[in-house]
Amino acid sequence: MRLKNYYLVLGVLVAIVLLFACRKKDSDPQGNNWGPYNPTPYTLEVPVGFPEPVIPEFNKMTVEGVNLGRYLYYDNILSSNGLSCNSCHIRSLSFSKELFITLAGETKSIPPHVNLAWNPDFNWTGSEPVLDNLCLGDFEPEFFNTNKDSLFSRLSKSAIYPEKFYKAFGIKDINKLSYDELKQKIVYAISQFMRTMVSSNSKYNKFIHHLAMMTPSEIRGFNIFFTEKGDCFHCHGGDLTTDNSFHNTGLDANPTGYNMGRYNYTGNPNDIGKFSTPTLINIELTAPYMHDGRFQTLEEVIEFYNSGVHNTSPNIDPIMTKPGKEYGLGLTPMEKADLLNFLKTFTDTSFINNPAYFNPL
Amino acid sequence: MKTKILLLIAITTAVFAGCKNKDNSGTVNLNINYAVDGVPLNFDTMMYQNEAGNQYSVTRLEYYISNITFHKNDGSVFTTDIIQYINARTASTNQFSFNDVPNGNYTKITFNIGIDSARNYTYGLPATSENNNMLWPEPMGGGYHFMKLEGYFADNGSTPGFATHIGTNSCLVSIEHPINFSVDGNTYNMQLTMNINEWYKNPEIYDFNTDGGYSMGNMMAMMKIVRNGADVFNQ
Repeated sequence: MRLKNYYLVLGVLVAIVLLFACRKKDSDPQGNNWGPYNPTPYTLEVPVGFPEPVIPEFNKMTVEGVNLGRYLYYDNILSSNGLSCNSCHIRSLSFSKELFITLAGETKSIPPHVNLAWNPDFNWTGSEPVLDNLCLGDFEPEFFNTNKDSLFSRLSKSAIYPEKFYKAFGIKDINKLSYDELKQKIVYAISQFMRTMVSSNSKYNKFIHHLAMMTPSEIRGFNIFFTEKGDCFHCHGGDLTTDNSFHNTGLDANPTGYNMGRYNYTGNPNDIGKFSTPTLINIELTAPYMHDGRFQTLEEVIEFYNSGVHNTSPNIDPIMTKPGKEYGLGLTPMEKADLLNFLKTFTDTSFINNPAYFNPL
Repeated sequence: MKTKILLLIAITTAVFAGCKNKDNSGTVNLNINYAVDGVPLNFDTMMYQNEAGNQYSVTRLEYYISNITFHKNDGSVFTTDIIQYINARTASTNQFSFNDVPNGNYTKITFNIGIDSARNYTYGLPATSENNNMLWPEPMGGGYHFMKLEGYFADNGSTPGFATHIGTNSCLVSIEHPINFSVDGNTYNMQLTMNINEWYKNPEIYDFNTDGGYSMGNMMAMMKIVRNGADVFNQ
């Protein structure tokens, strides 16, 4: 072989070696090899009668993202005070809890995490329009009181999270993220998990699609709920049992402070006293009721609509002030009992017992 | 030979391109506005008065229009089968287009406010949030609200709400609106203005105090609104 050929072979070999050296490593700084970053798209099943869910382009769901979110939802690694998402969103209570008292001393009832993929806005006043930002506030002292350095350190040294962040988001080294980037990714993952929390199997949902029977009492309650007699359906209809809008149902004659509702967010006087219509799915499990938990039982809620509505409250919904019902709905004790029995058909035990939502830790 | 073939292809292409320019149809863009006796509608302001003398404001106006038909002077028609959900507060739902409207001189447009009986059944429309919020309860007949028109009215110092809703098959409102326009391969922009006060007058005066501010489950009240509705788009 001539010398020229030796150089040629040598050149090719050097090139191959260089190529391999230049190839991106699928491993973290510790040298773990996690394989290529190739998340699997997660298809959210849309139950019959449900609209299309709200899934933003910037946080498409993946199997790995949902999985990371599920771990983080249950992990107090995010906080400095031992709290995790499920401290206030307990599975047996439809991922809700009784009450939360803010630093400002306001008592708020904690909305359940159910069918959030269909909500156009969040919080009782609609102050957050994007689910994927909703939990960013939870790192604050009022909730997790997160310690930035501790969060980076605990996550990056964890036996499970470095790989899960890589598989969900392609992040090879958590420590190379800024604090804001890390929080955003955490919240993205948790949002992906929350979008999987879908309830469509209550007796009510099945009944309206002719897949289940109700008792005579439940049907009588259904008829009160879904006619002008009770007129609950204008705000609580369809499979989602919410119109995802804002209403003043006359809780206070002159709302002040937190009770001014959406006005506190928009500053629009037409929003005084209005609050987001909550879902009624699993309402039996999410006492106490209303935005401030003022009613302890569903019986109290029914009695409020039956006889306690403040008709002169500013911006009270036009639906609430119908002629002939100035003094309430006039329901008999039996009708109230029927309505209560019907409200319990919103309970979906298959939702709270779905293993896909269990604590994985 | 090659040149001849190329020439043939060029001529054929030119002929087809030429035909394309001579469209025998055009586009009609429909845009719906709202007024109260000539004054543009402002939501949430207690500044209007109806024929019965009720001072009132409007907080919500949602409805469907369907079976939109353009009528030519020769009696022929162009019919569409869309069911359009409209929220007067959301501009985008008040603007829609019809392509392939045949050329000709048109003299009127007809459509329904509401949904015809063949398609007015529960979950008959796609399950969008808007459609689902318009569902008319099964115990009250099923299908969808044809219209929700809500607000407040002044009543001896207090301001109770009114909710004039219509639904169920007998409450379909037929609109026949004379309008002269020509389509000649072009785009015609049609403006329609709904006069809110027309819902409450002509032929019958609707008084929130005596007829009731809440019409669901009250067929007498609903039928009054339906009969008044026929000319809500007439100026």
